[in-house]
Amino acid sequence: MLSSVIIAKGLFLATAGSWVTSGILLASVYKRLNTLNKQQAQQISQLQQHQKTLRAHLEALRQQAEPLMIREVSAMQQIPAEKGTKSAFLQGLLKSNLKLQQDMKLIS
Amino acid sequence: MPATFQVGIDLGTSRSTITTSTGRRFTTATCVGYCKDVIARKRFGRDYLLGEEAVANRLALNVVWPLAEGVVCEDDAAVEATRLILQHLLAQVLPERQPGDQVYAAIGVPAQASLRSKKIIVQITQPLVDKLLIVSEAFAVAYALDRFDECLIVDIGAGTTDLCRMHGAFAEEEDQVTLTEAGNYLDQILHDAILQKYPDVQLSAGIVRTIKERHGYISDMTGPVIVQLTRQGIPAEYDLADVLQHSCLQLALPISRAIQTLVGSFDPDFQAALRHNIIIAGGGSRLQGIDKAIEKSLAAYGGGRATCVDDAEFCGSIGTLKLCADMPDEYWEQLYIEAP
Ligand SMILES: Nc1ncnc2c1ncn2[C@@H]1O[C@H](COP(=O)(O)OP(=O)(O)OP(=O)(O)O)[C@@H](O)[C@H]1O
Ligand SMILES: [Mg+2]
Repeated sequence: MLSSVIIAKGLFLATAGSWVTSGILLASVYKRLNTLNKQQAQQISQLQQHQKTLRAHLEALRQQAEPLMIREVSAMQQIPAEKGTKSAFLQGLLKSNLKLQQDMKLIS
Repeated sequence: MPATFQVGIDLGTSRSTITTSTGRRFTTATCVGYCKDVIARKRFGRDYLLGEEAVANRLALNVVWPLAEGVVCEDDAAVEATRLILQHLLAQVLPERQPGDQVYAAIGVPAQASLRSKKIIVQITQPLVDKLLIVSEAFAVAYALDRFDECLIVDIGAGTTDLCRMHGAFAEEEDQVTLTEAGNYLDQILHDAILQKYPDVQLSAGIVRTIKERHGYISDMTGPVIVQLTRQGIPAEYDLADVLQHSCLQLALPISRAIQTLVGSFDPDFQAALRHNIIIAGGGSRLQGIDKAIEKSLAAYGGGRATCVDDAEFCGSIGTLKLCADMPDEYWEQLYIEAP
């Protein structure tokens, strides 16, 4: 869309240029050029806005993916981790029961 | 060849359950009813009845509930009754047990039970089994659910509410709290509150418990809760909505305070995770709306999310069985508990 405006402007300027060289520069030409400039500026700002939105969207996607990636990594480590947790529990349970055995001897 | 059986036992103030490695499970009321006289003995053909049978025939029996606040009472009658109940539990689920077979048992106790209370349980249980492991009740629930990390177990029983903070390591003493505000406490609160509102109505422990179990926590959104009660034998209808709401919050409040204590003393990075993963177990988790009541009273401490377990009845004994089954042989070998 912007390119079509640029082409239109280019063509217009080329024609206008030939008119300038021929010394015929009309108020309407200025007016037309002005309009095209305005249109171009408007479209550029629209595109910039669009780009900004896209960039924000991309960033959001990246942020969303990050914990997923972390989760994936931890999921890969999950099986040995859970095994480790369980064996730590059982060790803790053994210890607490051995201590209980000792402590029970001390009371009547 | 002698067989080895593993059993998980949850000896509770109101109910006891057992689950075995052979896939059997059994639950009974934790009571023994001794015949009052010769007539009763003749009628039943035995000196005592156990569990539900004892409750059903209680008028002809002296019924002993040997546990209070999750531990065995310190008198001979309670010790003997507990022995009979444990023997009954084992006999029900291990009919195939032969002399020479090994029974490895894990039994749940409240985390903050005294050394003396634990010793009594060991002394009673040990002659009935070959190996014995003592486990904190709420920790057993976590183990049953495979919830090893970032959650808070709240086991609401009849005599005690046991809380346990899970953070991927063995739950030590500082991770656990035992409260005496539990099902029996709520029964008492509810009983008093009903009488305060309707002084002349006739109540019994059974009536109060039935009202509690049928209606539970009543939120602001619910309409009146009409219950039929009697006054001098004449039945009439009474609205108990506000009484139920107020009473259930009286139970939820100390529980929320204890949750806050366990959350507040934990690593700040993980506090939110604990607060939002509260798991309610025990018979008290069947109280309708208890999760909402706890969430409501937690609002004062920054909020939280609570859910109730599916299998409130067997969760504890499944956990103790799983621990029993997972214990390596070399650990069991160290755990020959000499007669204390
Ligand atoms: N549907 C229900 N609604 C409300 N409360 C219930 C319901 N079912 C059971 N309860 C209550 O749960 C309590 C019993 O729970 P549970 O069997 O877990 O206790 P326990 O293990 O015997 O006690 P403890 O763990 O304190 O020794 C009783 O107070 C009972 O009234
Ligand atoms: Mg219990």
